[in-house]
Amino acid sequence: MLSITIGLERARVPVAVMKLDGELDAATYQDVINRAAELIEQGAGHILLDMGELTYMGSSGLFAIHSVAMMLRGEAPPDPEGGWGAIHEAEPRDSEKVDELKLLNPLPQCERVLDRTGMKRFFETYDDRRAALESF
Amino acid sequence: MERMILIADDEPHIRMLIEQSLEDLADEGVEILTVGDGQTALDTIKQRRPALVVLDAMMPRMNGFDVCQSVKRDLAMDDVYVIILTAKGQEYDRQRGEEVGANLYMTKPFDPDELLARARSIVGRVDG
Amino acid sequence: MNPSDQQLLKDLARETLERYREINLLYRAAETIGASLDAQEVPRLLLAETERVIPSDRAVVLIGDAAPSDEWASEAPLISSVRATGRPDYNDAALCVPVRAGADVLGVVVLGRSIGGRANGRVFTAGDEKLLLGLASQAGVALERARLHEQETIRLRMEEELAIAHRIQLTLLPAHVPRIDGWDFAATYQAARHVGGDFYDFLDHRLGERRLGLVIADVTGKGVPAALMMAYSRAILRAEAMAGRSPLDVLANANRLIMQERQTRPFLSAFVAELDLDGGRLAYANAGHDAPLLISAGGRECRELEAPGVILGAFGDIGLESRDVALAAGDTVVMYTDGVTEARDPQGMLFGDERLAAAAVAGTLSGPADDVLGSIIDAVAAFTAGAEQADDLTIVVVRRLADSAGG
Repeated sequence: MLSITIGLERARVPVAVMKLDGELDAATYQDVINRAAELIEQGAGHILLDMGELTYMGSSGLFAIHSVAMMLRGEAPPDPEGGWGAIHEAEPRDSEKVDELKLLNPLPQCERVLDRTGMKRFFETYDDRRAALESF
Repeated sequence: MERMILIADDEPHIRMLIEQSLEDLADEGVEILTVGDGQTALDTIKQRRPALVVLDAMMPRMNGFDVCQSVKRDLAMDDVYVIILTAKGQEYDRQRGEEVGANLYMTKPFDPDELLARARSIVGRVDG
Repeated sequence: MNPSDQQLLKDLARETLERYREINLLYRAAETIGASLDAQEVPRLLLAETERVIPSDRAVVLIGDAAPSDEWASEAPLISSVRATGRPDYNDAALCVPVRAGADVLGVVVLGRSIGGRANGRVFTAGDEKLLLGLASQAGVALERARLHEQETIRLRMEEELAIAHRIQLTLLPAHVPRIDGWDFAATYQAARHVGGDFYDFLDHRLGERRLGLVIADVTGKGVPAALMMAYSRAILRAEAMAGRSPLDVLANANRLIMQERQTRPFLSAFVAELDLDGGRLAYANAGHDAPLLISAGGRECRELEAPGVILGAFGDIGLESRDVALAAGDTVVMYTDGVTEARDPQGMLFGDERLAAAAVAGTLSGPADDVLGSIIDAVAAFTAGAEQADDLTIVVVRRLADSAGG
C-alpha cells in the first residue's frame, strides 16, 4: 500500500514534493512513475521525494526513482512491462549526481537499500526539508 | 393470386388477435378472411388463392400441418406464403413444419410487429 | 354484436397485442442483452431493444457517473434523483430507470419526448417504466457478468504468463551443483507466486585451469518481462565470465552492454566471483547486490564480503572495485538474494540480516553445505509461518573442505 501526496514548494526554483507513505514495491512502484510523469508534463523540473514515512523500498522502488530521474532529464517514460525508451544518444552526465531528483529523510531500511545498490552515489539525501529545497 | 390474407384458427379470440395485428393492412385495402377449421381453410385456399395464409397447427377437421402439406406438396401452390402459428415450439414440430413446406414457423405468443412486417412484405408484392 | 361491444373487443385485442409485443421484447432481450459478455455492447443493445417498443424522440444510456450531455439539461434533476435512489421515475418529458446489479446502480437509461417529435405527444406511462426497468435489469446483470468475465480473463492470462516465466527461469538455472574435490556446494531457488528474476550460475570457464566462476543476480520486475531480462542478463554475464575476464571486468562490460540498449534494459543487482579451486582465493566484485556472508570454520566469525558498485542498467559509471579473500579449510560463503532477508512474517516483520547470519552460522556447525542451506531455508519457513512468499528466494553455499589440496 502506498499513498502519494504532492505539494509544490518554491525555493530558488519551483520544487514538486512527492511524499510517499507506506511501501514502495512491485505493486506500487508504477503509481510513483505515473504521478511523476503527470507532474513533469505539467512542467515540473525538480522533484523532492519525501521518504520520511516510507517504510519499505524494494528493487522496483529503485527502478521507479531511477525512472523519475530519467524522465526529469528528458527521457521518455518507461514502458510498464520493463525498461524504457531512451531518446538521447549518450548520457554524458552519468558520472555526476542527479540534480533534478533528491531524497528527503529516507528511513534506515531504505537508506540501506540505497547504500547497498550504490544509488546513494547518484541521489543526494537530506534530513532537513529546507536544506533539501534550497539545494536545487 | 389475390391480395388477401387467410387466418385459420379454431379459437375465436386468437383469430381476432391476428386480425387486429394486421389492422393496418386492412386499412390499406387488403382483404382479411378468417376460418375456424382446417378443411374450410383448404377449400378457401383452393378457391381464392390468398397471398398469405396463417395456420394454427392444432385445428379440428385437418390440422395446420396437413393443410400446409396439401397446399405445398400435393397442390404445389408455391406462391401461397404459409405461416404455421403454434404454441408447440419443439424441434420435432419445427422439423415437421419444414417437411410439409411451411414458409415460416411462428410460436405463440407471436410478436405482432414481426407478423405485420412479414405480412406487409408478402402482400405488398401482389398487385391489388 | 352491438358496436360498443365490438369496440370493447377491439380494445381488448389491442391491449393483448401490446403485452405480446412486450413479452417478445423481453424474450429477445434475454437472448441479446442477456447473452452478451461485452460491456461496450450492452448499452447499445439496451437502446436498440428499447427503441423497438417504447416510442421516444431521444434516448441515452449513461454508465457509471458519465454526465448527460447538454441536450438533457432539463432532465438532469430527474437523472440525479434516479441515480441516487436507485428507483425509476418519469415525468411528461422524460423517463429514467436505473441499470442495476443487485443493490448497485451501474448507470441509468433515459428516454425523452419532445413537442412535435415522432413520439407523437404520447406521455410516458407506468407500463413504459415497468418494461424499461425489465430491460434495464437484464442490462445490469449482463454488465456485471461482463465485468467478472473480464476480471477472470485477466487473472487467467496473468497466471499463464507467470507459468511461462517460471518455466523460462527453471531452464536457465543450473541443473546441479558442481562436484569438485575439496569443495562442497549447495544451492536452492524457490520461486514466489509473483515470479521474480533471480538467477545463479556456476561457470567452468577455463578447461585445465582450476577456477570456478560464481554468479548470483536479481533482476527487477516480475512475470515474463523479468524472466526475459533474466535470460538476457545471464547470457551476458556468462559470456563475459567464460571469456576469462575478472569479476570486475565481467560486471563493467555487462553494464556497458546493457546501457547501450535503446529500448529495454534490465535493472539488476549482481555479484560475480572467481574461485581458485586449489589456492582457495576468492576474487569478487559486486554491482549493488546483497553482500555474501563469509563464515569462518567453526562459526566463530561471520562477516560480509563487501565491494562497492552500483546496480546494473541504471547508470554508465558504476564505481566497481575488485576485492578478494582467502578461504581457509572449513570456511563457508553464503550468497543470497533479498528474497531471503526481505521475507516477512504474518505481522509484516522482515527476516533481516541478523536472522540470516544466525541461521547460516548454526548450519555451518552441523556439517556439509546442504545443512547450511537447510538451516537457512528452515529458519525462513519457520519465520514466515505460512505467509505468502513475496519474492524469489535464492541461496548458494560454497564451503572449502578440510582436506583440499594446499588447505
